Amino acid sequence: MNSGLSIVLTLSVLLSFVLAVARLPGETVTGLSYLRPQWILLILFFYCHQLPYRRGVFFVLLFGPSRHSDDQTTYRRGVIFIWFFGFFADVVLNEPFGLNGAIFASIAFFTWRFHQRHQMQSTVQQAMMVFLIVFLAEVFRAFVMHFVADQPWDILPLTTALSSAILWPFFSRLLLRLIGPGSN
Amino acid sequence: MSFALIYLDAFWKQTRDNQDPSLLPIYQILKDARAVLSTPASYIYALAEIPYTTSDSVQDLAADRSALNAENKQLKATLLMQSLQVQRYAALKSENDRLRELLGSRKKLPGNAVIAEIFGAVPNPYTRQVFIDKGSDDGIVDGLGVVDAQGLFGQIVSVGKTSSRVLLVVDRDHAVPVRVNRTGTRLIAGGTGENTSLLLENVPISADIVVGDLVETSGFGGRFPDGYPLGVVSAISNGSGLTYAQVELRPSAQLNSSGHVLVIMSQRKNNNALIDGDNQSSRREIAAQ
Repeated sequence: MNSGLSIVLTLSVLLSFVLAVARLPGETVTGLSYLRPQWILLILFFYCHQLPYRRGVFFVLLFGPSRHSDDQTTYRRGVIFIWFFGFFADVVLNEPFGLNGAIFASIAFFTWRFHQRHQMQSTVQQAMMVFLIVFLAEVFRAFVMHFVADQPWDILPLTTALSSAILWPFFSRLLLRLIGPGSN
Repeated sequence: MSFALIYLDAFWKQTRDNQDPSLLPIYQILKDARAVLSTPASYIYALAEIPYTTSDSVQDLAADRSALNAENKQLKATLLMQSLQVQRYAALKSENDRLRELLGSRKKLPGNAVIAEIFGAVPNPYTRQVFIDKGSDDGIVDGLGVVDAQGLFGQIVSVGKTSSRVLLVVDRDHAVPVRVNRTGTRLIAGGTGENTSLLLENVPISADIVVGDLVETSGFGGRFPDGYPLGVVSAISNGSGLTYAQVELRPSAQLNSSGHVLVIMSQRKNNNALIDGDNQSSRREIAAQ
């Protein structure tokens, strides 16, 4: 991983958090919040797919010294790191500790488990996969928030998954252009 | 492990009857971790506010001199009027405190307040919360009441080093003990999730409340100071078939604005107010976090 990729990774993760909490002026907040894509999950999904093909100092620092893409220890460390990173998202999104860690770690685990299959999928298939992942993650989030804070059930998991899936082709193409082609 | 953390963070402090003392240090660690992480989290919100702060700065730069002069004149006039009211208030407060002492009442009107600026709002459609730029460095603790120039705004629910999170009075998980100014009837006002309305809970059909009545904090429960306006009754529905009258309030505070607010500093120095509080509002506020 070159330094340019590290910078893009850091800035894009930061930007995803900013976009996740950015408010819209006035009373439009409530209406358009339903169509807000899950920026953080999109970024997580994207980099979990790309990192196995882009080894370097940053990757080794985060996930361990192994150079084999199928090394389970490396991915286990990665999942644990991402679980801890979920704490920060819990505080930013004002949710109970552990909720985002569970979502992030699950996505990272399944993405790393099937990243080779995902590489062969078309853009439409990838978007459908994004829809499924974001929908399941948001249903889980809604279930927990209903349980702990009595939040009502509504169509938010569906709308946010839909907007994330629609955005995915443009989002992934833009980021791929920024970070350049990968190599294993 | 995630489920254990979610349980500890969200539920454990509510189950006061069955609390396991050995879990208290873990809960404290989670609380401290949230306070530490809330500082970098507040930078994220500050970054998200940059378009609005930039737009305000540009508007200030573009404002012409005559408009500023007119605004300045108006502000001076308002300040003069309010200075007069403050002088009267100071005299009334000291008289009130003296009378309370004579009566043997320990309750006193609240003292100082800290001015804070709102710099971000939680964009979740299910909750109404904002960030302010004052934290534990400025003496802010959980549970303090927050008011703006017009009335009760909310309360502090999470404190970082340099920023805090305020739960607005209109949040659906928020409730505040109130009384009707005209009759003195004591009630509970709950949020609806909408910025423009609050609901009075469990109001008897025969209660003497009319549209236009001012509703203010009663000070019960010790969470909010006494006598701050919460809202004005805007609609009443007490038709046949209803067990309780449905009374709607229009909040006094400007909840949509992103200006300045005042944090009312409590007389008590209790950091564990949310754990020790023993009133309906505290239970619902805990659920909101």
